[in-house]
Amino acid sequence: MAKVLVAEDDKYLANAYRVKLTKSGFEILLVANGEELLMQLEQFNPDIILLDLMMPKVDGFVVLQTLRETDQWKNIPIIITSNLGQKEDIEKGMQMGATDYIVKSNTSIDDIVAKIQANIKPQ
Amino acid sequence: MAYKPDHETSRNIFFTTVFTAVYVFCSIWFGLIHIASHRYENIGYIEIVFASILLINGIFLLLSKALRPAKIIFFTAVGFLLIYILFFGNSVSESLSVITIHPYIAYLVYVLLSIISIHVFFYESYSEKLFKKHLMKKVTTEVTPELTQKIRELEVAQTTMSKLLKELNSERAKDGAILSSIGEGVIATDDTGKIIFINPKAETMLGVRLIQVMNKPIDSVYTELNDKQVILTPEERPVWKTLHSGKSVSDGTIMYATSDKKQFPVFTSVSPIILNGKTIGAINVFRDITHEKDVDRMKTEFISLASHQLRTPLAAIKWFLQILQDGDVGNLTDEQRDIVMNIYQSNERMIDLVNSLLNVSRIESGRIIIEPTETDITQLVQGIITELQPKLTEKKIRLTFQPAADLPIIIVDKQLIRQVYLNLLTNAIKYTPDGGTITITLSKNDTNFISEVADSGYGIPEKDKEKVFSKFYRGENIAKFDTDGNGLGLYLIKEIIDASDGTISYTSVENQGTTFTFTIPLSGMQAKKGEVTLT
Repeated sequence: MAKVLVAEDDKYLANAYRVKLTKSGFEILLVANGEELLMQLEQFNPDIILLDLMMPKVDGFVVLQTLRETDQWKNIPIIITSNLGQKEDIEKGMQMGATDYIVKSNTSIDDIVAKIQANIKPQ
Repeated sequence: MAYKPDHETSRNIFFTTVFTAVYVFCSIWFGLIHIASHRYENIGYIEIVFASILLINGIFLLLSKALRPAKIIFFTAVGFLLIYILFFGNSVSESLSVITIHPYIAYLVYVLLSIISIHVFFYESYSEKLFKKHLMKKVTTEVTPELTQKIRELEVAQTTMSKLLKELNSERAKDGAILSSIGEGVIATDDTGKIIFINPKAETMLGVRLIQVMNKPIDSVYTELNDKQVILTPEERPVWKTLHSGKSVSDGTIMYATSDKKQFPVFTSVSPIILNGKTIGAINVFRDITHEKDVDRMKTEFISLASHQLRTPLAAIKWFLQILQDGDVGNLTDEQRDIVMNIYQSNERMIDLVNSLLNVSRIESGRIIIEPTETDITQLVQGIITELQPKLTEKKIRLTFQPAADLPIIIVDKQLIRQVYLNLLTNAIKYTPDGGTITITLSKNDTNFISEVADSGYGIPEKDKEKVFSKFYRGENIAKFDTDGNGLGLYLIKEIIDASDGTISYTSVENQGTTFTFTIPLSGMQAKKGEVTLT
């Protein structure tokens, strides 16, 4: 089973992820902030990361940068999620090494699943 | 009272002069010489009386209104003789002693002359009074009732005039006070743009005094900038526009810059001063709208913040409904599916509205980035058509795309232009009944790129002409068919077109169709630094 590490601070969205991704056959770990993500990374060893850019404590961009600077995680597919939809944020994220970008309220969860499936790389 | 001597008075003056001359002569002859011949010896009573009379007569003569020449002659003669007598006394008395008259006759003559001189003095002042009385009598006896009436009317007129003048001054003072108290800046110019009036508020705002700027051209007092921070040329300034067109001009997008480096946004209304059908000047009433702009900005920021916050729960609802629809938590009955669909659609509408609100607030904040790049409009539109094909097919709408052959690559912001075509096309599809037609035409003229989107739909009511591009406008005639629209699409398009220096208009007949036409200058869109893009 492919493993998806989801960083999402809104509990309802997190719940939706859990239901859908589990139904879709993934093993999912939910974290609520960047700090937790980095802590759980080693142990969970995900195949793909869904990263919310707007999280408390540690900015999503900072996490992205940290991951890409680490040898172990510099190639893992990372899909950044946001509700901002700013072209600049998208560009910035992609430049920093994100694999894909979605605006949550404009994207159906089925499409998210499809994206995960398209990008996942067994680690 | 100064009076022109008439015949009578001239005669009086003549005789006065003659008498005075004779008197003077005799006084000197009989009087002084008599004294002189006796020198200072044997000065008897007669001599003293005589000397007194001489003195008194002299005083009367001096005080009288006898002609000055007479007085001059008298005193000159006295003076000369006194000097002569004092220094050459003996010889004079000796030579003059031959001409002697019996003293008593001399005294008699002398007294007579004195009486006459006194009479002259009194006569003169008396005659003056007589003259005045005579004149007044002459006037009053000859005054007719008409003249009296006229005099009375003149007096009334004078009183009225003084009253009017007083009122006028009081009104002027009041007007002055009113003008000075106006809370907005007021500047009045003549027909050449020179300042003829500026009120205290304007003085404060522009950092000048009336005395400094009176009769100076307004161009030298302050400059005006547009919302892109470009200084306006004289012809672009509202005051000049008004002076040349004779029409009022209002503008809320201008900034004033003063000589002391102050800059502030204003709302200005310029009206022509018209006299006898000609524009003789202009009045500019303006106020500092820094506060209003701040409030606007805060409103926009608020909407932006709220919209972002709203998106999260909207996304949650969307996803959970999809989970339900997908049967991930159990299959739905048809009825349940139907209900879920309703919720889902409503939610999608909310998401659309939030997206539109965000776009509107971004555009209004002026923070939109405009990044023009070379764009093949034909290709762009084709892409949108392909995107919307499912909807076209669903409603069985026949779409014709007619791009001209020689269309140039134009430099525009792809995302913004895309939004325009997308909105127009989506509207066309939405508001055209099944089986209708839509035609898209692209063409150009010398200066502009012209696009037309025509549909065979419900049309826009004539009475809504002014409101069509305003926020949240929805035609009454389609609201009952379709409640999905949020009324922001056209507003957004207009803002984008305006920012591109283009124009947009439409023609429409209810239940027949609508054609929207918009232009973009062939020179393309101006790049603009900003912070956000459309969502």
